[in-house]
Amino acid sequence: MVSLNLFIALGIVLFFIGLLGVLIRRNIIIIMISIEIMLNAINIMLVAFNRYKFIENNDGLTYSFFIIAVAAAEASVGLAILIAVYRKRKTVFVNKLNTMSN
Amino acid sequence: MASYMMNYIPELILIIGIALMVLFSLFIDNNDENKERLLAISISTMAIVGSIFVLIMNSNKHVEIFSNFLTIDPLATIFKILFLSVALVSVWFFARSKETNQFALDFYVQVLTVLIGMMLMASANNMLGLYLGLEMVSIPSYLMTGWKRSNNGPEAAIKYTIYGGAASGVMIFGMSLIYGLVGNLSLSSIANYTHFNSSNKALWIISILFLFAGFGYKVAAAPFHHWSPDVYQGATTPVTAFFSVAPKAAGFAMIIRFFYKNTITTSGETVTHVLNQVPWTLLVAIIAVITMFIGNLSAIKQTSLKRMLAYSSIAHAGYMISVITVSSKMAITSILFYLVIYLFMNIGAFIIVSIVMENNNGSDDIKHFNGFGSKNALLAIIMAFFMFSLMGVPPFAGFIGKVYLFTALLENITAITVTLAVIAIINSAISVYYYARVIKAMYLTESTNDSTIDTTIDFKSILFIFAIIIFVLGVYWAPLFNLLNKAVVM
Amino acid sequence: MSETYIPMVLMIAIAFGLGSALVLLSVVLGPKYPSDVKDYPFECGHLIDSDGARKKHSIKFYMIAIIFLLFDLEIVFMYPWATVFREIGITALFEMFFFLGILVVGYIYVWKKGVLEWE
Repeated sequence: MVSLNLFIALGIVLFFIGLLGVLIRRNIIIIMISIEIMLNAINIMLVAFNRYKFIENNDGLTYSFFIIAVAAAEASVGLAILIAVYRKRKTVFVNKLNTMSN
Repeated sequence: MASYMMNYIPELILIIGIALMVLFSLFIDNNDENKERLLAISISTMAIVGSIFVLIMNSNKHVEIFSNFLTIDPLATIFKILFLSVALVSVWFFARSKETNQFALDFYVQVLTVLIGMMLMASANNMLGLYLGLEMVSIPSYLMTGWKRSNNGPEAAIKYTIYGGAASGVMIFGMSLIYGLVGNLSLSSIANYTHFNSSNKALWIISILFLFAGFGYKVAAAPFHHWSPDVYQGATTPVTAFFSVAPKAAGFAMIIRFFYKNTITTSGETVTHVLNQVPWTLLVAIIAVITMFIGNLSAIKQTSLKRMLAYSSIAHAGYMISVITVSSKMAITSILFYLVIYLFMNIGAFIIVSIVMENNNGSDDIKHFNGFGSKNALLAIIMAFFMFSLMGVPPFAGFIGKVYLFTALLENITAITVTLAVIAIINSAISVYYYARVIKAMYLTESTNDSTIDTTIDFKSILFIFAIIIFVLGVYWAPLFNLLNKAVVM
Repeated sequence: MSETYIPMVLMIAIAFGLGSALVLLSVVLGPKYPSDVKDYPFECGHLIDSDGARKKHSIKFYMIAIIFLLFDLEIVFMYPWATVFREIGITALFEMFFFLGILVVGYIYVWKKGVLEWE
């Protein structure tokens, strides 16, 4: 059987790939995809912990279900707002959205 | 109905209000704006008032419902009443503001959803509840920010969305690490685990650092504050006023829930903290110091008044976070007391900003305050009241709030608390500069244009009531403080 | 351990078998009248132009996608609910009705606002 450490390593690596994507990419669509990668990395970790260490309760599984649902809600709201931004500004790049700072 | 549902009635009232509003809005004439407005305001007001009423009736309850998912205790109840009161004022403010040209009923649905989320945050007994509450507050907030279809609204909203999504993702990464250690999501299990287990200190600190990305994002604490100036500037003023108080208070409710909890351990002892053997105070202290300095130093150079108030609210969050490091009942009471006072002075200041903006083509630049004192003496003196109170000058309520914060901080003297108190006092002194700039503009600078600043009677009366409350709480605060002190039971 | 997988393998086999049988039957038994329009490469929602893939799509695609995403994911909660339904009993039924009721309110809202209408 594959050991827990491998799953956790996978989760951590994916999480930081996602975080790095959020921090360095400019395209908002890519940033949103990176956020999804982060959330799914967390899901992997929660499910792996639940399966390997705490099989007597289902807390980790429950948590990951809710994360999936919340991620969907967040993505749809984010896309809707992105459409509004694109209609106003004709751009999806964060570095072009800088009219407010002084 | 199942008996545990009885304790969930305040939230259920809001849910029914949302459903009614959505359904009614579909079956009334689309062009009849007045009817829609009346419907939205009456249903949301009734739902909020009903919810407050039920909460006050059951304020002494102390139960855990939904298999220990939620705690209904006096602390949660007082926080919920605070959120609902802010929402009540805000509903009036949203309806009266002229910044959004088109009335939308859906907007009030978002407000009620945010309320349910905040109530969940205040009574969550579980890391899942904290996360769900946070997201339930955040997601409608993104929409509320983008409601104004000007240039800045959607831009601020998309920044908020990205920041919020990333911050909550980092927070649940920390939660998943804690789950990997403890094996349970409930805060009592974490308390039980940390009471008996002092290993893995480094991992705990890393987890709490990740968690603070979410907590700090919600209360706008540095280094997770970057969204707040843009959002405060981009959203309409009523929305900004709402965001500057209610979700911030909810964030503090969440932090208090996470760090303090009376738990009976497996060996029968009572412990007050969730994280017993984890050295988290230094971490929180560092965050508090950074937050205070960044908030105050950035506020100095702002010319947009909404942006200035955004940075000032970051600084106020810093004062309150520094008190989190003290683990006492007094600390929680003083934070609550400060939040109540902050409600009146900050929302009041934003109401006046919105009046000035309405009379100056929607610009919130500080130069529009020039000569305010001679244009409208009553509003100017009320604004001066709010500014003095935010500074923390006696005899206004902000001073008493700060005194209690510092008292709580210095209750047991350690190197950390003394340093924090000194830094907080230095920061209060810095903050005098930028608040005083507004007062100087109002009274000492001549106006360059001859526009008038005036408003309707309901704005005037609400501002007058707020000013009176600020003044009265500055000299006679004991009943409120005792009430809150009694409520801090966990 | 491996016995527990037998029903699953059986189900996969039936699913594949049924699916391919139906497709094959329609190929074998169905009438064939080829025409220009029918031979045209199919793409959902619009005719293929020579403009290439960079053509702008209607905003309706995004609307439908967003709505689909939301309603599709709520089903995620019905699977765990179904596994514990017998243990909890009638309470679980009412709770799910409450949940679905809120979803239905959202669905009526989407419908009445005209998001599902294509033109």
